Amino acid sequence: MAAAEVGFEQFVREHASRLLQAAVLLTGNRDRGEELLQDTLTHLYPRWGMVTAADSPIAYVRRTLMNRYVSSSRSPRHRDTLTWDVPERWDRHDLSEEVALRRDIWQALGRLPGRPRAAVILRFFDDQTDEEIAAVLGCRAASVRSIISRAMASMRNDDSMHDTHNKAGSW
Amino acid sequence: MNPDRFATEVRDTLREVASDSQASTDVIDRLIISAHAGPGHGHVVLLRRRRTWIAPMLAAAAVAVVALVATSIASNPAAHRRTPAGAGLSASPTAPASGSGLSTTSAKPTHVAVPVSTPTGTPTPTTPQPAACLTPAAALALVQEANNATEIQFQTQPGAYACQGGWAVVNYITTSTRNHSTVDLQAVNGTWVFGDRIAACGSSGYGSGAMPLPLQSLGCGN
Repeated sequence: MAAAEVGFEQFVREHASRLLQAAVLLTGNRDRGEELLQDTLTHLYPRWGMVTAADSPIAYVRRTLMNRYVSSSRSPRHRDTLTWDVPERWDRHDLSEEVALRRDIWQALGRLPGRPRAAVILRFFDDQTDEEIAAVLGCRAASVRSIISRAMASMRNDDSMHDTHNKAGSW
Repeated sequence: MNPDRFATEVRDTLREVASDSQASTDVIDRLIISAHAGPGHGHVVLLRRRRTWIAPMLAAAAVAVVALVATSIASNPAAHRRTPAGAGLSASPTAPASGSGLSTTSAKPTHVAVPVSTPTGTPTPTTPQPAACLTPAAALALVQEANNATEIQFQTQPGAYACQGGWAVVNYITTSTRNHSTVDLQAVNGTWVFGDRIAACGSSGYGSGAMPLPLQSLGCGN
């Protein structure tokens, strides 16, 4: 087995969980997340030398994953078919105010367009800095701050969130 | 709720959802195999474990069972007893033999009366018996049983499994060796047994690599 092949397998075994989590958050459900990650790795495998030559291979792969997601989210097919499934396990606890709030946040996140959603996930899940997010999204750090600020405002003003939690007096 | 608390809730929400999305060994293996197969082989892993499949699959299985029972009841048992031994497809199909090797070009684990090749070497599909289709899980289980191996799974190409009109084709991969193989199954007297349609085609076009549409491959691409 070639060294590059070993390196690829080792990388996937080491980082697949974290990358899959990001992909699931981006796409909104497990199956689409697996498809996105598979698509990304299949795309990168023939170019694996470039990945390993990068300063941070995981950052390179994450950037590719995000870019492929943002690109695909612009397609009409994506807009027509994207569903944002609420995880089943939340159904069992939906009497809890906290869980209801998180469910609404999750659904509000699902209504964000691809790029702002990617920015929110990079910031709040991957704990990336403005500069790191800017490198992934291909924009300036100032733009990242603006994108995230608008995305968070949009989520807070989302209809479902507004109705539920304003009426409950917690807003 | 102030913006800081909202940001905290967003962070907690993302982590909670993500914690439910660990990549299992099975998923990791599929990712590696599909990357090796390359983009030309399709990028969608078929037959994923979708929760939404469960109800339709159970319903289909129930319909299939009812149909088989109804067919058995409707048929005249006396007529079966009068049928001379050896006529047509009257030989009892046997279950796939455990431990038999299966590959595109090797012998099949079970051989029953199946169509033979024409003198030109091109098999001529016979009219298959109408039968309810195998579920993908049942087809895979048959192949696994015949190979005496659980490391067998569907290939990642679109069309890794197809079933229609009494014929089924399984494109599978042995994960330890990464060998790609194709076998066909045929409904004979209500039992699914391995056919030799694919084997009769030889290895041309049906080995590792480009895979034609499975049901077309029953006719060896003709």
